[in-house]
Amino acid sequence: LGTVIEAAGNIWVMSESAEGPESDAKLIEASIDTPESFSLLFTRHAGGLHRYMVKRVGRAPAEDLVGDTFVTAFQSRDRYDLGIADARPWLFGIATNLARHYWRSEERRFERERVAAATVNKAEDVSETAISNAFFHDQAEPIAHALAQIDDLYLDVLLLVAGPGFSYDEVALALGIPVGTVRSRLSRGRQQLRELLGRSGQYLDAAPETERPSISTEGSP
Amino acid sequence: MISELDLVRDYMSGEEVQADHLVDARFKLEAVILAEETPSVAPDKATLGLGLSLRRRRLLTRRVRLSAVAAAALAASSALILQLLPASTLPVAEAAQLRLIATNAAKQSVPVLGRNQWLETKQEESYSIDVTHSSSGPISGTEANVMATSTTWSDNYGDTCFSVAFGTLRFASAESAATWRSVGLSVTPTEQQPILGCDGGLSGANQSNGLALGVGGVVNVSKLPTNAPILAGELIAGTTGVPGIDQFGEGSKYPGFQRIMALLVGPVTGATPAFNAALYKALALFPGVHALGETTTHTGSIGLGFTAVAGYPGGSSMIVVDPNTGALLEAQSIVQESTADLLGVYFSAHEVVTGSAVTTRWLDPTESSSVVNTGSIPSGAHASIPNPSTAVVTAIGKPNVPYGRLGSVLNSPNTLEYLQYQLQERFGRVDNPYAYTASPRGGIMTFTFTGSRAQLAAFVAELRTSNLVASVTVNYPDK
Repeated sequence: LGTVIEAAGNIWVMSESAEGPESDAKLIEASIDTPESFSLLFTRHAGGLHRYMVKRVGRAPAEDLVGDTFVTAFQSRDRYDLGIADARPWLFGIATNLARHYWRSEERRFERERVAAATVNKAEDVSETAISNAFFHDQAEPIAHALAQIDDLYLDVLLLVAGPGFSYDEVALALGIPVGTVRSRLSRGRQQLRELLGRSGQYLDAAPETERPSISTEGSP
Repeated sequence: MISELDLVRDYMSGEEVQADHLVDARFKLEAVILAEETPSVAPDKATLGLGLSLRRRRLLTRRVRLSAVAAAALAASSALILQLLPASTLPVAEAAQLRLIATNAAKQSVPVLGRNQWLETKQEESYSIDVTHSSSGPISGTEANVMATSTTWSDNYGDTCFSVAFGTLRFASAESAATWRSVGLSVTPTEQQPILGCDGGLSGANQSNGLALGVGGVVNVSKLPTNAPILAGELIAGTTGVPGIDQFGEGSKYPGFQRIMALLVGPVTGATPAFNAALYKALALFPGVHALGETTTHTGSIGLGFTAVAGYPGGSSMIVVDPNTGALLEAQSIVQESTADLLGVYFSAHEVVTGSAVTTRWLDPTESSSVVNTGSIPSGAHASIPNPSTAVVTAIGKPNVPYGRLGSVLNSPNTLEYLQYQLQERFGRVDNPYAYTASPRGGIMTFTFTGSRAQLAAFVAELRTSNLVASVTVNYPDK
């Protein structure tokens, strides 16, 4: 039986699922035999993933890609490292890959439409990066205009540190790259941003970031 | 002082949508979970009549999203639509809607009835009545509709009281009204409104009464399985062992859907969150069920609709469910033979009806079920609660079962003393709850029980299912 709560003379039985939290890893382990255990991961993390995806691909496709993220995760859960209690780096890593895949698909779609319309403009850059950059450039915030010009290698690291607030180790897990690479990409990404913002007159403070002890400032000017 | 990283954090911040609102994303996940769960737990698809939809994974991302208007139009022309749809189980993505509803239903608390407590259920109903035979012979052209408002109180022992108020009959044409009157039928209820009454012993576990929706008996589902494929099989085949459920929907093309609909309408006692979830998972396994998407009820609520061909003249039956809680918002087209007599009685001046067909056009629960004390039942209905009688129940324990251990009933399960304690806790209608005589063949317990026949039956059943007693004898000293 579930927890029994007595209130105002009436007794109500709460369901088992309302009881204490388990780690993400335990849920994933349980879901091997009882697949529905995986649903609780959605309840925990879908909101955060959706916010991240809205900023990466826009509101319209975000929910669809959050669904794809969980489908991909569910189908590969038997390969999850159960030693890592928090599944967020894994889930955000999948989401980041899907965001990249989304922009590649958009680029192919754009190219098809361009050919079909026979309005070829040879000077127009229709690369995935360009379409992704156009998305960032369309945002109201000046920082988004700067993000539009950041190298892709640095963008993922910057957004995973600034969005879900991941540490170096967590970003390394999410992207499947060494921690040292995360450190150097973040450093170079921030440097690029500072230059872009300084150039556009938007950057207010050139002091290096110091409030996050887990983030090294190695390589910053 | 603002750093470039702060600006990126500001950009990445924003309002977080609650996971519960990401329904489309959730459907995608639930669909793959359902697809993986089903083949491993379904015992025998051939037995269940399932040509299951796993072959239909290409439809994984197909969503049924109908506007309220489109849904209403679809419901109105469902007979036509259903001819076009294949008679098989739901596509995976649509079944995932039910899987999601099940997940949410499992999170809801359920009322648990204590002593002298009743489950109060309120509903609005619209009935369609067609009198086919009067005392003077067959008749036709009497189709009429009538609205009713009902409150039902049900206890744990199978007792049910009701208060139902019928409106005035409405006819499709003046000719129908004239035919109705010509055989001596009344167009207004002949009984004083509201009609109050009680029935005892309608417990589905041990009685053969049918399930009379809205104004009828309660079904105790505590013995029904919570494993969805097993529950689905029993509901489809009518082998739950609960007569009130198994006999319902007989003759329907898809009786399983009728039975699930009846269980959702209730009143039902003994349900757990796991059982409520299993109902929706079972529905996802049924043949003949179709998802209608967003659907608006007669009282203006919006939920997800599911339908199945009833096989009756009334066409297809439908339920509308709140996807966030699993609560039933509306049931449509339920054929109920047990209500036919009721309506015949209340609208005929001289009981001239000898044959009729009654369909619940729609039925909307108007409030969540709540737990009330006996005092909440109107005195008119309360007065007709079956008179309790006193019985002496003698139970002989099995030879190897001790009376008690360590002198504390709370620490001694599998003892007769603990059994007495449990019975007293649950029923509280025993004058001498702890009477006991030691005997080498097995301890003898004698209970003086006062209550209705249904309550006594439940008391005796509890004794027998304890597995601690060898025999139970019931005597009525007053008779």
